[in-house]
Amino acid sequence: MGKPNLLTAYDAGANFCETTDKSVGGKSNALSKRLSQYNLRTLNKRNSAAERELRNLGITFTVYSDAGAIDRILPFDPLPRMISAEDWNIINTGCIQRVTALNEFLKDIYGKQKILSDGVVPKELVVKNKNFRKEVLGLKLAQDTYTHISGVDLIRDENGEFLVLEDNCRSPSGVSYVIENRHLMMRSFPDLLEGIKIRPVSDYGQQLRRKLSETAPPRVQNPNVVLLTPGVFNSAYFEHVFLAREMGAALVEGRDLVVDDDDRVFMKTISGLERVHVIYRRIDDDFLDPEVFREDSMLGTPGLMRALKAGKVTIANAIGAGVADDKAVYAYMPKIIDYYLGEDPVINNVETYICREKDDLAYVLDHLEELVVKPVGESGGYGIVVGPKATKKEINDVRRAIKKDPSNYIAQPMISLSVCPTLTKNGLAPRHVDLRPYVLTGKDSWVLPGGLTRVAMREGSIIVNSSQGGGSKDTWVLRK
Amino acid sequence: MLLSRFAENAFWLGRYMERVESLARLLWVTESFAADQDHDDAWAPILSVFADSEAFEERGKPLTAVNVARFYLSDTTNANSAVFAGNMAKENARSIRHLISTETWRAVSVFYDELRELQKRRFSLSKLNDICLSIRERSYIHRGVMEATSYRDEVWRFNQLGAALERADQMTRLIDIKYFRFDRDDIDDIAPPDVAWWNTLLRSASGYHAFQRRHPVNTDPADAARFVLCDPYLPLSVTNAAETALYQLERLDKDFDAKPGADIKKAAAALKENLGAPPAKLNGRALHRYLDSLQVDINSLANALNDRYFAPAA
Repeated sequence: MGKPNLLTAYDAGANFCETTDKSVGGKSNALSKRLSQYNLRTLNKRNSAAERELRNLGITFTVYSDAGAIDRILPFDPLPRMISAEDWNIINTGCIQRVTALNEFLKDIYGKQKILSDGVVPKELVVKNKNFRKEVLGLKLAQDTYTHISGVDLIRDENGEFLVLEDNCRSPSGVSYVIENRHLMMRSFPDLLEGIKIRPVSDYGQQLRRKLSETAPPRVQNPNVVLLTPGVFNSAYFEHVFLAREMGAALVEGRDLVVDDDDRVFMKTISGLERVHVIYRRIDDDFLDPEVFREDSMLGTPGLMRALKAGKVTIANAIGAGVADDKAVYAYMPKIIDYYLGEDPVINNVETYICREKDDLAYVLDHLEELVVKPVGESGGYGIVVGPKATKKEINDVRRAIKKDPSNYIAQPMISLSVCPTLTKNGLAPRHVDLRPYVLTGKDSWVLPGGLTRVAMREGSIIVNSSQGGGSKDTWVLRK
Repeated sequence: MLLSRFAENAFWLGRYMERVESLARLLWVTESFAADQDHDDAWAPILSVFADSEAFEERGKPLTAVNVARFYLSDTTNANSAVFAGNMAKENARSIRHLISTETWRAVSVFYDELRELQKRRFSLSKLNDICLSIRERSYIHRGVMEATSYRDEVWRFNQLGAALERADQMTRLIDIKYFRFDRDDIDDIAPPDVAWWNTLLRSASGYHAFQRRHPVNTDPADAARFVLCDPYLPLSVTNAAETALYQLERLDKDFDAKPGADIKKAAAALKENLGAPPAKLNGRALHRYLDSLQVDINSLANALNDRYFAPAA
């Protein structure tokens, strides 16, 4: 019997715990041992110092209101989430497989549409999708890359098996927190990291620049890569700044760019116009080019689509890539992986009922109290109804909504997400987490060893989105 | 190459940070001098110099020292206040965060948070000098942080250019607080500010001791005016600011291929020439007119910079 410590009273219950499960060595693995050396007061003190640092450094998302700009920090939990080398191997292989299939799928549906004519994925699900862009049909993209930057949202069930919850092919955000969280841990908890061999995350910017450069238009030496932001009023502006800085790329707004009569893209500088070859855009398709999409857009640059069609610029992620991360397309991912790669998924989907299909619909309507229902078009955790935790009224409302427009919904069984010890007002307690690894694709794909671990700060909650009060943790991928 | 928009952000970050410091200096001088006179009249001239009399009246507060001080320090709706300038500095810095050092961003951020605190606690007049002093010290820290950590690229050049221009402009306004009254031709018998006021101003510009070394006998207002305006060695002098601006333009030309056009060169030359030949008698109306002419020159230069670098025809 050792003296009581931080983890003594910690009980993860029936959940799979990332830090104290038997499979990772229980409460005697390196991290648990380290944690045991702290007392709650020190932990709290260091945690508030860390949060102050976040604010001073402006590692924030910004909320604009009539009263001006308010910088909010993403709540940070100082207890890291650990991933073993073996588990990381599964994640790495699984994510690359998935993104490879997603790119093949996008190339196909904007090309010959074989997967649709073969009847593997329903045609109307794709071509009638609001993120399907007929404007890019038949275009040949450099390296055939459509989703250059992808986020694959993973969860872990009661048995510790990783499952894919969602794909993100439209500028997934959050990677800046992955890197800043690590910096913060190194500043505030250097002793916790000491002697534990963790894979670094700090070269993400260089990798991003390399991968984007690989997808520059053909025959361009030293391509000029820029990051296109909607501007300071965007809530993720900090991340745009962060990534531009890490890449050493110019951070431009639509008004800083011009497309000339030869369909070349330039940026306006203090010594004249300078050519642009690759645009990492953090602006939705709709706002990119008022000549083609929304003509009232003040964020984009007229003529970008012309430049793209003339093969004189690369836009990352590709216009129209969003159709692949639709929650209804998600349900077909195992089939999509099999169709293009002839492989079984390394990481499985969560079982998904597609309400547009008759049998599934009947099942869903019968089992609403057990299922998690999601509208297919939404992101950020909006509109989700968690059956086992919903009120009668919420169940009835969602039943009516599904009946009215079945193809707008999918449903999944309730999975009890894995937990991590997390600092709460009452000491360490289990809180549910997910994981978003980031996959970069140029000539081939690379996965950042780490990812964003989001944590639902409220007890029992499984909604981890920052817009719904979620926080984040540093994510440690151990070396072999 | 640097985007025109970012050059403008860097320039205005420089201007706004400098404006906060200058405002603190101006309020400090006014308060230090008004304290032993004990009447609120001493504060009215500030409103005139910044053309704010109307805006102040709209707020419906009596014209008292503390109300004017709050108007210029902590009134977020006053575009000429320190807290407003601090906010603008931060927003400009935010736009170029990827181009400035993290230390600089941190300093700007912390500085603005402190300025914002001012509006929460309604300070009394007795606190004013302490507040102004601490703002000036914060500003010096900010400048030191920038000096120590900034990469000497175009961003730095534009930032220093903006700071220099603002410093020059604000120095002319600081003096004009006591001299703008000479603008009216019909008044001939206004008493010019006395030696005590000039000593206070010299102190606020960190030039008092240097001035004593140069002019050991006693303070002649004309000497003091020439000193804070035209002395090339005083960091806060208009001449020094002009030299700095010219130097930054030269570096932009030589190092970064960002050539100043003919208009900028003409405007800069005019300012320099004007500073090289102040009127012999820097008193009363002559001084006020001289300050006016310097402000016109500084404005022309700022306009030329804008046309050439920040708003170029695409």
